[in-house]
Amino acid sequence: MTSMTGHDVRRRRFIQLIGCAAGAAFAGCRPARELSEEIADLLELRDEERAWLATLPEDDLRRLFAGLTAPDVSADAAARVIAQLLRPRARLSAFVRYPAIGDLRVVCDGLIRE
Amino acid sequence: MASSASDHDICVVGSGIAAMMFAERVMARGRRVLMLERGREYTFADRLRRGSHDDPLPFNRSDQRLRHGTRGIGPYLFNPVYNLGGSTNHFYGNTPRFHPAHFEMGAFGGLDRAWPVTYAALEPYYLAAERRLQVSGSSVRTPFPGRFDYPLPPHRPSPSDAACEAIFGVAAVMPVPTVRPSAPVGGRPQCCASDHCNLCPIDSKGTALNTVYPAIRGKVELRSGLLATEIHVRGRRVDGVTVVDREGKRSRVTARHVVVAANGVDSCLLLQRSDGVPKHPTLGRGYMDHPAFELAIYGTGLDTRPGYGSSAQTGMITTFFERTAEALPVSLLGEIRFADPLNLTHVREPVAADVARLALRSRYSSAATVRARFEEIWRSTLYLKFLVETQPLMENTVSIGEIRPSGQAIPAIALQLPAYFRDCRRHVQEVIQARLPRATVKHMVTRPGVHHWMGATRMADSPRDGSVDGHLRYHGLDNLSVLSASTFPSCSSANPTLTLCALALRLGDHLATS
Repeated sequence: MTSMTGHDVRRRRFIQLIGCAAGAAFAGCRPARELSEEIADLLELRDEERAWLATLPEDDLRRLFAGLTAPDVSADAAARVIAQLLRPRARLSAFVRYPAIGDLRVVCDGLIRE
Repeated sequence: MASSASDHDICVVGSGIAAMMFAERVMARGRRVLMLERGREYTFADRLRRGSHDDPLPFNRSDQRLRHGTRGIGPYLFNPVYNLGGSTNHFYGNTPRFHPAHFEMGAFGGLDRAWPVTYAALEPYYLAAERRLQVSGSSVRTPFPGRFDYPLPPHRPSPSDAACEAIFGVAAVMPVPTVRPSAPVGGRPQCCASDHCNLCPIDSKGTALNTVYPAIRGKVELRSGLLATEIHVRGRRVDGVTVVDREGKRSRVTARHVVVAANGVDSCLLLQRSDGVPKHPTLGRGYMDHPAFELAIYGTGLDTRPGYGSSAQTGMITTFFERTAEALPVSLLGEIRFADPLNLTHVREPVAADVARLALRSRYSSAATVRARFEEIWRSTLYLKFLVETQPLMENTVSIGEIRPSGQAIPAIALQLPAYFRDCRRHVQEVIQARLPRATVKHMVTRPGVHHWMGATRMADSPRDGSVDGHLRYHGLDNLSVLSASTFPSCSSANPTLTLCALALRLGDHLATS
């Protein structure tokens, strides 16, 4: 039996998801929670960041997963979801591994002073 | 109507930074000044507590964001601060000078845009204004020769500034002259880089309230909560100003000289609604604001680190500041907006989407994971904003749209983007693209204006060409002056505040000695 690479697994998963998105309720459709975990892994989200995904509706999770696994096809939609995911300033800052920054309105560390 | 007899030498309508600097200057020469302010005396603590500068008096409806049609570019917002201290309460704090050539350049597009005052005549007042406002800046790294003596050193350049030096050359990146202090000064702390200049959380940014007002408080007679609705004229002289209070009660104040020092739109409206004031052909015409375009540059290959910096903005690009530079007919001043992609939601979201798209497609980064690619591309993204000098087109106008029962005049503003605007944008994009051939230079936003209200009571030697003369005296009236950016006959691409402050000091000297 030919072994599958991680890429192959994701591609097969992507094909399944396309089917789900089209309304085909076949057995391969996994629940959103499982999808979130895969996305969190693909985005390398830290434990404390994984909760960000809970704010996304299931359709967006599918778009994001599709973009992460087949970017040639679905990058635009997935990019919009990533931007939405990183909309809060603190999330974007954390995602690009900036040092922690404060709330603009209440403390004076709005920018990152070297 | 009640009449308020006055023994004041000068009545100033408005209490913005220029009005206060003017008042301080003439009071130092023994003149007695009455200052009329339509808003109230909110302290800085009041503003922080309320989280707003808005004034609830019935004739101060600035919170509604008046919308005016502009040709093809969406709504134009006129949203002044109507209370003590005026617009410096919420401005960003950049205080560059105009380029000397911007006072001298002659006709362009059929209209004379030369000033009846030269840079050389204004330079001592620039120096004095910079000292008074405790401006941070570099006396060496400026785009033109001249005398500079900034009282505070410039802010430390941000990584994005250094990236711009690599693109445009070191000489073309100027540390921004700003009233956001680079060190503690005058009881104010160093700028904390909150990038929340609209309501500085620590009252660090220099404003009318925390620089000049403490020096004139108790010396100037301030009457707040009074809206000036008409200037009365007899012969060649102003003999009174009608004011209305919140209950609608009208009264009249007098002084030997009247200085209209409201913002660049309301100054014009007051003159227009005053029957006795001569209506010169250019009154309300030649209105200008700085249209602006914003560019995101991805894949610079440089360490730009959006979000890192010691003040809200620390550098400006002067490559296009001289009108003749880079074959442009007008002046452009670039702001290196390294803070915006991190701090402003309307910038952050589209930039993040672009970076994500590039990261998903593995452009500009060969890192193994999406997150690593996103981080690498993000940290090399540059965000620039260019202010464009506007031609003083006579079809760009300010007029009275409506007089409300409260007495407030609502402006009708007609404004169009100059024909060359898109050419300027294209040219800048091409220059950047040529210097960064691998990068993606993307136009993000066009703004019809940036709250720089200029030109509607323009300055000229003749009443045929302007409303006020070179000393800001209203043509045809011996004792009326206008102290507002509305007097600018052309607008450079530099922020107008410092030039207005220099004019305020010069007017103070002129009236105190004449």
